[in-house]
Amino acid sequence: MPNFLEVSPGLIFWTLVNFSIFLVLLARFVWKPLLAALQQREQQIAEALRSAEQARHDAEQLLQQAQQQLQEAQQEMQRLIREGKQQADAFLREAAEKAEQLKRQKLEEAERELHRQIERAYTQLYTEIADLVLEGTARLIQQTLDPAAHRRLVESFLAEVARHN
Amino acid sequence: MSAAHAEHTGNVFAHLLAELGDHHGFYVGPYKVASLPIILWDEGRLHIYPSATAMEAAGLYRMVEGHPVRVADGHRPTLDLSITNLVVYQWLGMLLLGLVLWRTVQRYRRAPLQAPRGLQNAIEAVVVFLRDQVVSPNISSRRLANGLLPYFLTLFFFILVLNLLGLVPGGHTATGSLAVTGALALTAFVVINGGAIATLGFKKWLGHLLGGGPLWLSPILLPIEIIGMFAKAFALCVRLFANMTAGHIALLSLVGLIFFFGTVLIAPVSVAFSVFVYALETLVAFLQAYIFTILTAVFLGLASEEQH
Repeated sequence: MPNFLEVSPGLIFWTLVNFSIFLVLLARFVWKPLLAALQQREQQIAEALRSAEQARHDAEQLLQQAQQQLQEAQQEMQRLIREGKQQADAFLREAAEKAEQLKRQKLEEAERELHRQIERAYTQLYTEIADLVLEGTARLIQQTLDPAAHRRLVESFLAEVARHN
Repeated sequence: MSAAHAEHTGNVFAHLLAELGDHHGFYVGPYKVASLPIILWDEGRLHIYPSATAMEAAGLYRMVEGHPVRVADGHRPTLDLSITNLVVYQWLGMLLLGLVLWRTVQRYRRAPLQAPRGLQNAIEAVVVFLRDQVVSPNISSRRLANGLLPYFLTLFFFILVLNLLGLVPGGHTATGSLAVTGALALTAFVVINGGAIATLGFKKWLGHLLGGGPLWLSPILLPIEIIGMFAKAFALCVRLFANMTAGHIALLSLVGLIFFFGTVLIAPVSVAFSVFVYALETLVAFLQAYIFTILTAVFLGLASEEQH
């Protein structure tokens, strides 16, 4: 039998001893800390992934909220502008109406005042004419029916009227 | 080719083949570097000598064809527990691997949460692969898988470093010895059946031995199952041994061609093929370490399966 096919019990014994010692040493000083570290790292990575996912989710929600708020704000703004315009329009229209009314009122008042003045002037004129006519008549009645004197009287009366006017 | 020449080439090959075996003494390549202690257990007494020379000088034993035998009757002692070449190569492998792993673990101790770098990365990849692809899928019990993980990791790295040491020029392959692979297969046998008993309980494990057949078939099934139990371990042992030895014999044969044909002209062919076989052996070194480990896990998984 060739040398390399021999099975030496001594070598089996020593291999078992070596392997057992190696196993115990590695298990205690290498595999235990190594596997623990691996597990720790795996947990940490899983945790990081989870929190990253959570953060992404949160950010998305925030973004959505912000967009919603922005949209609302724009809508509010447009509403305000529209309302302002409407108010301004209403205000202007009202003011114009008021001015128009005031103008008409003033005009009416002025017209009425004018009429009143004219009336008063007429009244005064009539009274004075009546007075003058009365005075003239009185003078006429006092005079004789002398045509020349009558004529002078009327002429003086007319001259007086002309002077009054 | 002359008869003398053929005899000469035969001697070279026989000599090279003998190098594959175990030796009393530490060898690098064909050169003896140091003597190793000889420990003999013979007829109830322990004999320890610092070296073969010291043993022969003591007069009780002498070396015949590389083995100590009694001077008195020429028989071998009951048990030869000597520190041999391959034991030293195991120590070398353990030392080397131990240092590398120890340095790696220091990194984990310093910064367990940092991304791995360099060699640490390579070792971590292997460890994670063995944990997630080899041990976990085959061993259903989580507690057992965690408990046995150190065994599988150690088994893989132990076989791997011994395989690779055999590829270092001048190095000897401890896993190219049936005794070494046999011892490893023995641990696998213990783990497989121990794990199965731990998972199933002793009664169910015994039931397993009936092969799941009816009771009247047990005279046939029981021997088959028992043989199968040992055959698995035996196959593990022989597979690793044969793979590691075959590559070396292929290399020796290729180099032997030069001597066989007695011409240097064949050397380029030998060298080219040797390089190829050497590369193949490097692959096989990793592959066989992996196969030994995964088969142990698979056998354990099969043995601890519940009967359907």
